[in-house]
Amino acid sequence: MDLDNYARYVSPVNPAVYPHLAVILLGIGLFFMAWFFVYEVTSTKFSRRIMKELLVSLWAAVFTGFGTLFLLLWVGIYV
Amino acid sequence: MARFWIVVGLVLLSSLSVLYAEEPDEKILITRASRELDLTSQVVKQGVSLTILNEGDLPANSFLYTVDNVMSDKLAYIEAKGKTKESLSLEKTTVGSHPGVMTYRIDFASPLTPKETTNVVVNTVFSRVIAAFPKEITQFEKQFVQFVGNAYVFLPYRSKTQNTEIKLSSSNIESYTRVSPVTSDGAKISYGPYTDLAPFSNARMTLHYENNNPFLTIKSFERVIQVSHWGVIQVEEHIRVHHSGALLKGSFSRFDYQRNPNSGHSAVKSYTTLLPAAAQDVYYRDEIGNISTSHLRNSEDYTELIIRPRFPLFGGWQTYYYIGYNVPTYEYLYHQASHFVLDMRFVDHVYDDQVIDEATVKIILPEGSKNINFLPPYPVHDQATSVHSTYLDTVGRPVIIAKAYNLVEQHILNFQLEYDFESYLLLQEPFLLIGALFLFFLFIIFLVRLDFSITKDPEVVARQQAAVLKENIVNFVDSRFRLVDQFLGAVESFKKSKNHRAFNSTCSDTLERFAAYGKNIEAQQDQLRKIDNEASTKVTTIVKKMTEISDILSQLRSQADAAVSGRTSQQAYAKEEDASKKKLKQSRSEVESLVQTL
Repeated sequence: MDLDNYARYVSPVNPAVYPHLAVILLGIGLFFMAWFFVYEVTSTKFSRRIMKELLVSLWAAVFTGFGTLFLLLWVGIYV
Repeated sequence: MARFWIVVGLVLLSSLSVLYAEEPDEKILITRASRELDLTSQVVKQGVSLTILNEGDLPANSFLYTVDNVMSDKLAYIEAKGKTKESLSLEKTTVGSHPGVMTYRIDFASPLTPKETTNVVVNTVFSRVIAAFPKEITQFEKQFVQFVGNAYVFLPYRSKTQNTEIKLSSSNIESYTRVSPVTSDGAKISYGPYTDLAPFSNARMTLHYENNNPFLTIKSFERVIQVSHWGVIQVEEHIRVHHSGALLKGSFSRFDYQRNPNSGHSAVKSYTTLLPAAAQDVYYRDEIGNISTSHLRNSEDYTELIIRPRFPLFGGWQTYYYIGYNVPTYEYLYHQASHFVLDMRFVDHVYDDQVIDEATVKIILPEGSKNINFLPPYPVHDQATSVHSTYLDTVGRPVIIAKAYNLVEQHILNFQLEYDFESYLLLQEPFLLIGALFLFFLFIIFLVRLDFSITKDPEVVARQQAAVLKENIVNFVDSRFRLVDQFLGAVESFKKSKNHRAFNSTCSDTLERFAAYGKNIEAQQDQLRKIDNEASTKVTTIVKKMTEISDILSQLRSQADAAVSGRTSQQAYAKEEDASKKKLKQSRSEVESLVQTL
């Protein structure tokens, strides 16, 4: 098979930045997660607002999710 | 009756095989056959260079090459090269008159015209032909081996002249068969030249000599290649190595092995494995864990891994270990949009002159790969597919498994694996993580809504409710003060721009919003009154003060309007404005201190 017409495949994200991405994304994710948990334990039945809870937890999930992925890639679990 | 048909079938089959069998063309003459036999290692490397003459009247398209019966079942590798080193195509066939002889038909690059000659080189490699003799030795003995072969080049054609050069591992030769003319010089033995030999000439030749080179056989070799589209290909090789030389007789003495220089001649202490130059994160482990006796050296073309097993390998001993490393995808993975081709070695180097009994190659592709097409470098056995599940997988990753037997160094060739993979599938893994986390958070949101209290305390409930209402009031008051600041800003800019229309619209808008917040505060207060009367009274005061502020704002508006229109003098206006602002400040601080006490 002739591979001349094929391009070499590189990752969509440079593996050299996996550690940075993991630290930054996890940092942001943990911030949102902390916010979420603090909000959950301090708010009362009357002060709780579902939209705020959902939004904060969604951002926490997104950042922690991507952060965990890059953490896995950083430590050598190439998922 | 059934038996009759079986017999008929068998007869038909045998006649078919006779039909497909070939006879060597008698008009082909080998004018010169020179053979080199390399017996220095554990494998036999034979290179036969033939000068072929076509004596017939018709052009010849191919010729036949036969492999010695003594060694034919040990044949691991065969290749044929033409005059300009181009490889020629080979096909297995049989000779009708010699059905038991392993025969290959080799096609010439271009038909050999009558009276023409051409050169063909046939390289063959045989494994496990050289056998230890004696079969058992003690720790202090040197290893002697025996090779049984043919003194002539085994050919299905008449040959005019033939000669054989044999390279041995040592000049310590116990014996060799004399098929004159034969000469020996150090570690070299030359047989021939022999002239005018008939087809299929055979003269048994036995060589008995010292060979302490590693006799290692890889009993099983499992290579696992895992492709990740996040940029890395992981390779792991599970290797079971067996010392297939002379067996160790008697006990093994570690003391003698370390102290006595005459000890362990044929034992294998360490060997070098060559890894790709781009290999990273190399590890060398076995069942117990990391094996620390290894060295890694980087070179431009490869990475050298010097492996030293936990114990020296004596005859009959074996060891098991695995090595692994990562390589970046751009070394081996090619693509055209979503069509990918993995171009990697089927087996890799373990040690020089290696022999692999059984090689299993497993290629794990990313989850969601489709239209997989495996192109091995040589025919493989037992090709299968399977599914492998690992981190963040849902349905599992497709695995291609291929097996091959009796491989030597010449089999280190690239396979190709085509597949289709949509790059958006890469996001499946992060979304799985995000989904799991979000579900967890939803569970928490649900959990805090459950009431686990045993008794209901109306006072606590009222306090919580009041807290929310008070906080809302505080927020509305803050919003109102922000409006006040905006209003003062508008007055300042109006003094400069003197734009009546803009000022009027800003003012009415601000005052409207100010009034709206007031309604909000009243709504909260209505609820608060039922719960906390004391706070409600404070709010009433706050509301009163806020009305004052609203009046002051209206005053400020009309004063500024009059000043800009020229109805009041600048001096009078400055005084008026000052007084209003002072009042505003006072009311504001009063409200703020009241809010603090809420």
